[in-house]
Amino acid sequence: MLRVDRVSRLYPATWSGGEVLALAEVTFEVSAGQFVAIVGPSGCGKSTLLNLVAGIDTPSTGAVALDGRLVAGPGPERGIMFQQYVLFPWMTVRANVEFGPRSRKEPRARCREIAARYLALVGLDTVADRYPHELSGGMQQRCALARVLANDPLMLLMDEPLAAVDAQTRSLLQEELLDIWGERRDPATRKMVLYVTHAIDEAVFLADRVLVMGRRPGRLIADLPNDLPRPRVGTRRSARFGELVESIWALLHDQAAEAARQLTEGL
Amino acid sequence: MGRSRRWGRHWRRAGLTLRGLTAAVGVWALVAHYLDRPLLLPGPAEVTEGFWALLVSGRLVEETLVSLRRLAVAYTAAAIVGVTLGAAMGAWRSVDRLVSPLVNSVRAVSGIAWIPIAVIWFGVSELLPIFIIFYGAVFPFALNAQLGVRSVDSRLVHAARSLGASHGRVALRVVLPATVPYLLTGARVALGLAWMSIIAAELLGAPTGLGFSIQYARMLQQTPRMLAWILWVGAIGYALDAAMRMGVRWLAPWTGVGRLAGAA
Repeated sequence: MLRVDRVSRLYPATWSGGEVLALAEVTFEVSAGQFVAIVGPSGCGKSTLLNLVAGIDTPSTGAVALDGRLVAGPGPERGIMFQQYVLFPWMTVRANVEFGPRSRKEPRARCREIAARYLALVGLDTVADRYPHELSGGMQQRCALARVLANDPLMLLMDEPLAAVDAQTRSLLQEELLDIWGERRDPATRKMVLYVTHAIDEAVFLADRVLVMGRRPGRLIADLPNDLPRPRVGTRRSARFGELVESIWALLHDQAAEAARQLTEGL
Repeated sequence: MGRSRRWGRHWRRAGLTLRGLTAAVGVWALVAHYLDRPLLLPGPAEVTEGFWALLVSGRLVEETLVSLRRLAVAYTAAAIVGVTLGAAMGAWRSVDRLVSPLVNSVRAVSGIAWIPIAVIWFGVSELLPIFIIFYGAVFPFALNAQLGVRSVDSRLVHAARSLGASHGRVALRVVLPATVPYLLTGARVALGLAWMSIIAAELLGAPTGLGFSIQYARMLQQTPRMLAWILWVGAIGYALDAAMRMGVRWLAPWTGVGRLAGAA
């Protein structure tokens, strides 16, 4: 179980010399096997929140704990995926996937075996010896997913991982992701996922629960359960899907309008 | 088909280069001929003769090896010291603040300025040219290493850390390869500067080597040989740079052309 307990994050302001409250007293839990999406307008601190859970950033107050252990830095039990494919460009696809197992000093043959298994899982076994720049955006994200899964983490942290791929690939990868996560299997085999996105329909399609965030300061404004049946394939055009998207959009509308206004003013 | 077209382009380029060289030698020959002062400006024929004499006597090879050996020693030392210093400056702000003003003010002084005092310190010896080359090469190494370390994409480091890599493994498998293109740029600039400073140093402060040989030919008023040495120094400098560029392409294939063509 992941516990995020009254977490705030203050940043020094660039010009005024004061401080900016990026996150204010955020509290929530993710239970074992749960897929939780975080949506919100730009500037609501959703990526900051994910970085805090990842241990890349440290909360100013409050604490994050995974299975009772306080998060104090990045760790292999929490695998991260970013929007941009941050594969190591000087390593082959296979070497990228082997990086985690090699880091924990598994024997070479065992690393090969693990990499082969996860590359097959994401459908990249035929390009294992290519370099990342030779792959399409979708394939690079598949590789990033295989690299994270090869570590067998307790939880996956994903920061808009599909924002940079084209629409068709995105739909396809969403379905693949749910399949790999295990939506057709016993819930006990699933990993916890914290998935940041700005696309409401993506959050509704993927998650068991959707956390809605507001801005100024970044805070949680709603925690909505998602009762769409699994597997989700085919639910996109259902009435319930539309209702859920509408209800979240109603919560975000004013926030998003304000964010857009400020962006244009800032130019 | 692609291959034959590429070869065609190669030949056309080589042809242009050849024409440029021929034109330069032609102008030189004409000027030398009409000036008619062989002691001031000997023509290509005399210089070729001088070159041939040096080659046959074995002095050309001998002096070149002397200079290249000094270059190798000083260049290696500059690489080790420069990269270590630069990497530390890139990784830790405190180190940067501590040494950066010193490094940047010393760097502004040409290596040649140090030759007179180096003569006092080391005498006319093996150490003097090595010191001057080291001085010329150490700064490009340091500054490019600093820039490289500072330019490493922090997300790559985060990704590696979250995959369970120790700090040592991150340094070796992520920061180092991410820095390689910068290090190679530094190495190339450093090699060019090192080659220029070795000649300057040997002109004034060494009993052997290519720079000394130019000076020696001047003392004997053998202008053709002087020019032969000078052109030879240029040719070696060119060859060193070409070898370096080939090495870069071989060592860091993920940068440059492949990257540009395959960017998503």
